[in-house]
Amino acid sequence: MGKGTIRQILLITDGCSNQGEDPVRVSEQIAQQGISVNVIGVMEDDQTENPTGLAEVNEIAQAGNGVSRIVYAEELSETVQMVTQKAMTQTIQGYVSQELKGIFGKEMREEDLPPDTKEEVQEIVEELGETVDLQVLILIDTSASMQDKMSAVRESLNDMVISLKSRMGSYYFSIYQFPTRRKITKQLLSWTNRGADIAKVFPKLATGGITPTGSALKEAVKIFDQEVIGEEVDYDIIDTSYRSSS
Amino acid sequence: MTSSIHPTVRLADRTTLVGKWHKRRYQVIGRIGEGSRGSIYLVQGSRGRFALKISKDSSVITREAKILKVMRKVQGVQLGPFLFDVDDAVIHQTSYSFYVMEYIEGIQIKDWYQPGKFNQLATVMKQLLFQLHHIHQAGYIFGDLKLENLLIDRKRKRIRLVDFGGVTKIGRSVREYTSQYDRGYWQMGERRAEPSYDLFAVAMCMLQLDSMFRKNGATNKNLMRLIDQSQTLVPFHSILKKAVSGSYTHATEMKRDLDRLRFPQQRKNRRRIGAHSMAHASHQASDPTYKNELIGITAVFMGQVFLFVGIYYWF
Ligand SMILES: Nc1ncnc2c1ncn2[C@@H]1O[C@H](COP(=O)(O)OP(=O)(O)O)[C@@H](O)[C@H]1O
Repeated sequence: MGKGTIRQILLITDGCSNQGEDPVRVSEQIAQQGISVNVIGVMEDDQTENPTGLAEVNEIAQAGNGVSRIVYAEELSETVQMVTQKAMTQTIQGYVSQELKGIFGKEMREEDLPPDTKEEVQEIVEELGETVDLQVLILIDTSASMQDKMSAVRESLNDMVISLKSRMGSYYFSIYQFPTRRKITKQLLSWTNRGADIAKVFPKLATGGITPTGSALKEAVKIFDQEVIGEEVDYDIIDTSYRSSS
Repeated sequence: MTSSIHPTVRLADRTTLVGKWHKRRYQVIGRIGEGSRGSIYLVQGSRGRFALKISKDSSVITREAKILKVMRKVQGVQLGPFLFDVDDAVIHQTSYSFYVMEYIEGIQIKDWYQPGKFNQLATVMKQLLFQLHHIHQAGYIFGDLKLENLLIDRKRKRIRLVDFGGVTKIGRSVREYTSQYDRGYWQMGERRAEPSYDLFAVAMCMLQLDSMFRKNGATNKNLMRLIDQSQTLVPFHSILKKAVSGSYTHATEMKRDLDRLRFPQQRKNRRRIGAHSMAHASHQASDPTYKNELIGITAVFMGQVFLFVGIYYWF
């Protein structure tokens, strides 16, 4: 089967980057490789909606063709699953609109389509969303201020796996943290689909004061070059699934 | 194609939306609610008042409208709010998708329910299970079942489901859910769309009505213990346990168990009602006018019915 794989990064952070590369720039470069960069900003309990310190969160996701949300720690579980899902849908919509361009001979924005056509497109997107394979690289900010949010992050990742397991398509995730004492970023888990692995590797302690978000992104994204056992990375996802389902 | 921002669309009162495709006009009366996927407004259309859902994420609108359409086709049973229109409108130079549906004038279950009214609770839960049964028959589950999505319809005097954004084809993965109602979160099963997923959430809805459960449920994850502790739901304990453990595979099974429930506390109420009607009846019967006599006879009859029912339940 020539089924494709959707590749995404999920960055979970609680503040601005303050060292190294410009994360917005890096994000843009990553998006050019067909990998979306999605960001969840975690607020302090006393912070109000959309605090300025987290403004960067939206910019990184925007540059990375991804989705962002800014939430309190207790909302993390639902948000992680929602962002993963949304990001995937968004990527598929991107592919589909490429297809539509081929059919109509010109760029079709969604709002240009009448409701009925939109509905058909939606159906295709949904079908693909259920069946495509998914690779998610999770990058966790473990700077000191994240300390009291770590258990919520772990819980939300466990929860994400429950959702991924229920899909028909296969999935792999890997986990990186940043920063560590010596390095910008460190791999905690290579590509796996076992949820039980999360508990084994998850850092209990946050470290360091600096937040080198951009550099960490740049470093971690390299894992997509590593082959996942069995599956070829393949972008040709519309053709096969579209035709076979209709 | 960006949906990185929150999907809320703020519309000031009196804003007029004109559909791009169907040209219908709607004027905003006020905001009804706001969810994670969009905002709901009460609007005035040419044919009356409606609820209008609008979102920055047009795929949300397309998806929900499609589901409401599917639900409309389910034979003879009204499941969702009736769908009137799906369209796009330009507001401040930006195009948004929206759909227009029946406005359900209802009260939230939380505001309607009084602890201890077992019969009323059982009745609406049976209505809910009936509706879920038909959704399941159509090949879907409701998905994001929670108290906020249940309204008591004042006009039709029954429970209504709103927010069909979580409706999922049976066999697929559930994508819209709320942790407290999700069996995956409680480690009681997968997040896959099957009828038992909804039935788990029905049980959680009932449990959320118990103050003890609300207090302890946020931290403790031992569901069986939590059920035992929910003092205001004692008659439902065995049904709740069956629902959360996945013993029911069909809504009808859970409904049948509810049908069989007898509520001991309510026997007294019934008898009291019966006795009251009797007193009322004898007073009325002595009245000379024909009309009153008729009422009297009816009352006596009703009294007997209540007595009979009372006696029936006694055994
Ligand atoms: N058709 C309707 N009639 C009346 N009230 C509604 C209707 N649809 C939704 N609501 C109210 O609006 C609230 C939020 O809408 P909802 O669809 O749940 O938003 P979201 O899907 O974004 O969470 C609901 O909890 C309900 O109280």
